[in-house]
Amino acid sequence: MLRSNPNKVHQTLSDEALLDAYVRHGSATHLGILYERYMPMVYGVCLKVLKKPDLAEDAVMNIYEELTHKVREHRIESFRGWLYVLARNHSLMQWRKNQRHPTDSVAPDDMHRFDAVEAAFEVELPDDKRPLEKCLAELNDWQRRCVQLFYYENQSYKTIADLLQEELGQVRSHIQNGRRNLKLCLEKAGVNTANLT
Amino acid sequence: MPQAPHTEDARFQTLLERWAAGDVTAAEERELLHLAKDDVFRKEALEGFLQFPEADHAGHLSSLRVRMPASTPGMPRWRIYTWSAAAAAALILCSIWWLRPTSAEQNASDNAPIAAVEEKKADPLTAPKSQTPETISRTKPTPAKPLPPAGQPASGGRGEDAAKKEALEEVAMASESKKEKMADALPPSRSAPVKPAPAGTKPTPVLGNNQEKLKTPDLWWNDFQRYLRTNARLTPLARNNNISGAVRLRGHLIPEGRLVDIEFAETLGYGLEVEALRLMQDYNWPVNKDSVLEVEIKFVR
Repeated sequence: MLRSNPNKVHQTLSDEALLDAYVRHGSATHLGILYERYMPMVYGVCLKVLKKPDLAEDAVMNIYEELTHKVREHRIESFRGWLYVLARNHSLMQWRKNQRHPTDSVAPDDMHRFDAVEAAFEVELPDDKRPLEKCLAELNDWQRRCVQLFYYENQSYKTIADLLQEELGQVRSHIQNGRRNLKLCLEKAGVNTANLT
Repeated sequence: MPQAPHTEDARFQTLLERWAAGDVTAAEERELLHLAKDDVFRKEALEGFLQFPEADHAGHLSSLRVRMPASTPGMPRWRIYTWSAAAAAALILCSIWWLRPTSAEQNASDNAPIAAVEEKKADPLTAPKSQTPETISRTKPTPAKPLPPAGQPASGGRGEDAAKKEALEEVAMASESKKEKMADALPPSRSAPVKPAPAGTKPTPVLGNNQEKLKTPDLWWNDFQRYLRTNARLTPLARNNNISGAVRLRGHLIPEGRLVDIEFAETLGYGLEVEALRLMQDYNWPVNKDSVLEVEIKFVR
């Protein structure tokens, strides 16, 4: 078949070497390897702006198309940084374009306000178990069982999903919601969650 | 000592993909968050994932890997199209060359009336020199033509015209049957010029020399058509440019269950050829088949 494993030597090349090889020889392999290096991150950035996994997936492919032309037109010092800006701008442009359609009205208004990474850090479990136990008891069953299995029994999402016979995405959602609820509860109980990292 | 961004990115993405697949533990998730904390690219990427914990991110990432044009390594896309077009043109030229009438046939058809009349005049038992007695005995005896009714002139007039006409038809039929035999003797790809079917017609699998199979197509073909209908999707680029239509390609289905020597007969651009290749690559082809297939993939909204 036409597909074969990309040369492993290419995988070890630096970003700049791959970029240079693409600009010189026009080989899609080089640019493909380079782009795949950052593809999950590009997808994440697109997802954050566009808020729909399907749209984000399409955006990742569009960015690649754009990339094939733009890397020839620009002198790129740092591909990684340049790609981030390109991905972000492309997603924002796409989002604005979607705004013209009345059905796509979700705005990325929380681009700066929402900080899921910080939010996740803020609910690292405290050493003092008393307020925590109280707050855990306040969680709904699913959230509590998922949080306990994840944090106290060190199980992976997938294992928890198998144990509880629940969808993987649901398990992730329960843990994330449970974590947020714990944070709110702990704050109410006077635990300074900002220092929990 | 801080690691290089590239190394950290690699680790981050490994963890991110494990997170998407649901394989991370709390400790690994903590490491993921640490790696994201001080880098804006990683941070925003992770935030995108965290905002949608229920989505099938692993599925989207693997779908993206399949869609990536790096799946055709070593050759830029424009070069693939150029080579495909050149190969298709060469195939058509070869087919035309093979099926052109040979000089002997040409002479035979040019001299057909004369030869036929002379043959008719000759003794039916007199075989050509090239035929051996065995071949003569195996040759189906040609039924003797009824002699013109008595009193009718042997040559000239209406009777001669009719005889010439009959002889001409015989030679034409003989030439046609020779052409068919020659076509059967050729390999499948050469047996007939592969012409692009008019748009909208159903593609027909050409199944090697066994023409009987054409009458009873295998069940997998229906399954394949269903697969195409279900999985052929417009690329974002094509969708954004309001492109729709059909990509036509042909390839050789080999007994190992793979479609090789893929050539595009009709293209649309906008990444749809890559999408077509992906579809051909992903299909679970039947084994123990040796056929040249012509496939039309419809990309519609």
